[in-house]
Amino acid sequence: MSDVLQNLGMGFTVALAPANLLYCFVGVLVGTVIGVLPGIGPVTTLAILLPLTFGMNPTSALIMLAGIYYGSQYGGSTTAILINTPGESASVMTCLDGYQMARKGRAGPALGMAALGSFIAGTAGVVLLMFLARPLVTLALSFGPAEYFALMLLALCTLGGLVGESVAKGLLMGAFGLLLGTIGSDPLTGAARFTFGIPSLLDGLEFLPVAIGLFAVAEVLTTAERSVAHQVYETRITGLLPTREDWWACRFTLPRASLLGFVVGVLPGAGSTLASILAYLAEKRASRYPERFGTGVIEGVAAPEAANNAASAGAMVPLLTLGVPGSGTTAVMLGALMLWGLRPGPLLFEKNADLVWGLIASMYVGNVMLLILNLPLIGLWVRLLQVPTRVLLPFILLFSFTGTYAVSANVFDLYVMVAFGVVGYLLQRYGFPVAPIVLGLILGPMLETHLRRALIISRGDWSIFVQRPITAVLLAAVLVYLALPVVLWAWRRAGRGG
Amino acid sequence: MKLDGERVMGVAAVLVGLGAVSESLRLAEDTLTGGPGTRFLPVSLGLIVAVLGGAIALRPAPRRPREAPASPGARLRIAATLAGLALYALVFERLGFLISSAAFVALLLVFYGERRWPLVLAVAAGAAGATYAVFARWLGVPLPPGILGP
Repeated sequence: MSDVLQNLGMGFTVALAPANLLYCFVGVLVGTVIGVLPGIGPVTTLAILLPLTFGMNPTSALIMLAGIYYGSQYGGSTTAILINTPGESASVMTCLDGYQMARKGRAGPALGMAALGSFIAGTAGVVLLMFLARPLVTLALSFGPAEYFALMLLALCTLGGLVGESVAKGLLMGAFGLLLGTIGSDPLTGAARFTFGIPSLLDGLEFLPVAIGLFAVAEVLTTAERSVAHQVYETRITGLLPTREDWWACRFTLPRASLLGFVVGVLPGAGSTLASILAYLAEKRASRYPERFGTGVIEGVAAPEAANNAASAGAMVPLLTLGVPGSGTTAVMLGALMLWGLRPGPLLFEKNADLVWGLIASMYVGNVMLLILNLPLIGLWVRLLQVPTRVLLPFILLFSFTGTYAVSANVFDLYVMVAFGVVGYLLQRYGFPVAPIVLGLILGPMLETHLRRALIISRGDWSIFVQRPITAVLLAAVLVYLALPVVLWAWRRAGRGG
Repeated sequence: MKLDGERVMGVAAVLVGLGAVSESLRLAEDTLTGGPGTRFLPVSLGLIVAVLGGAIALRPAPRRPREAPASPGARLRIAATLAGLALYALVFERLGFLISSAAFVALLLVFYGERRWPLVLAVAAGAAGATYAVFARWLGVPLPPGILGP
């Protein structure tokens, strides 16, 4: 306990340094803006802005990127409540009751509860992150290559299975990402694979052009397909603070959704969107008046908003302690850590304690900033909705191009970005999730190295993967995860036949 | 069995997977390391991609509502965006960052329906200038000067 408080004290010294305060503020501000703007999500923004961080101190850069991530969870609720359009996917459930509250003239308390609920849950999530991190790091320090291989495989399988509309599509995308990760020199022998005589491919496919293509360029193409006409929003919002009755109604909602959101966020692959959906459904089930959900009840706003913020803190747990991201957004953050020359995982807590604890402390500070930003500036966020999409899209592409070129000064990366933009657009159009591709691309070389190192240690004996309980349990979870859909399908089929 | 977009993607995955297997089999299997060698993972992943792609291509019935075909306007916008991206990548270094970027933004604004020419020019020049200021001046990234260079 005293160890945690001592580390947190050090973290606050880092987070409260003027430069880091500024980057935290920029992060949460940008996060709120992109959360408000429909059509551009946190993962897209992180990918586009990543090149801007290369000249920066990694601690400041990570504080800013994390601020964008959790800031976007705050901003996403604004459009959900005011125009029934979620600013990003984690705010989908907020539309149901938030928009109905707005139609009844209670947009102010809905926005207020979204911001205050997000603050409470975000802070609770950071406290949980702080206390859970140390035991996990201790456990992870005992991991060998076999454990890491099993853990990465599990992360890929769960992410692949949870984010898409079908397990097969998600797994296909994860495997495709891993396959892309094998392009370039073999990490152990140096033999060239899939390079087709192109020198730029010898070091492997760069993560950033692929991520920017799959997220940003594909998103622009998808938005361009839908419509570039924009809806001008005009309204007056008064009375942002929820009433005493609102708080009373949410007295159990906020702790319940915070805890649920955090736990879901920690799980690989689940993420804040699933957290908000589960929290809404749990709240409806626990409610004495479930039939009123969807008609504008305050708990229907508080639950998903609290859950998605707690989940963004929970998602930091596997990223920081194990070096294994659980979502597209944290995968981009992992890529960032690696691009800055850091080695994510348990050793990060020992070798870069100032970075990790500075980040954790900055999340407290950022949550306070977000509360201050969100309530008084709500009118400004509403005005942002008037930025025409046709102006926004060229800006996103211009920044994507410049950012990609800035990293390597290689035009080949621009072609890679455009090609993956087209691939990402087609995949999204036909319901294939793209986040597992990025996760696979990042984890691929590490997964292969761990697999082969484990087998070198065991002199080719595959039983190394079942000799230690942790590895056996993780791989059993992978097998159960892969077999479950097939068993369920066979069971339903037998049920129909009988 | 009707060929829809989802099945076409499944077939594409089969081709990618089999292509990866065939390309990987050309590699020498280096077993110096005691465990699986260079081609083990690419071959395994190629097979997994091909099998999963095949499962999607041959699934009994589509699980999702068929995607609505893109309207002619939407198709035009996508084609224009792609053409703009390809052109931008081609001329990026030759014309230089400022000229190619301003032209790219202006082109897209017009394609997306903006017809107020002073606004198009102002936004295009402003966007290129601001991005140049951030990357080249603030971050010190060497952006290509192109025909404006020495």
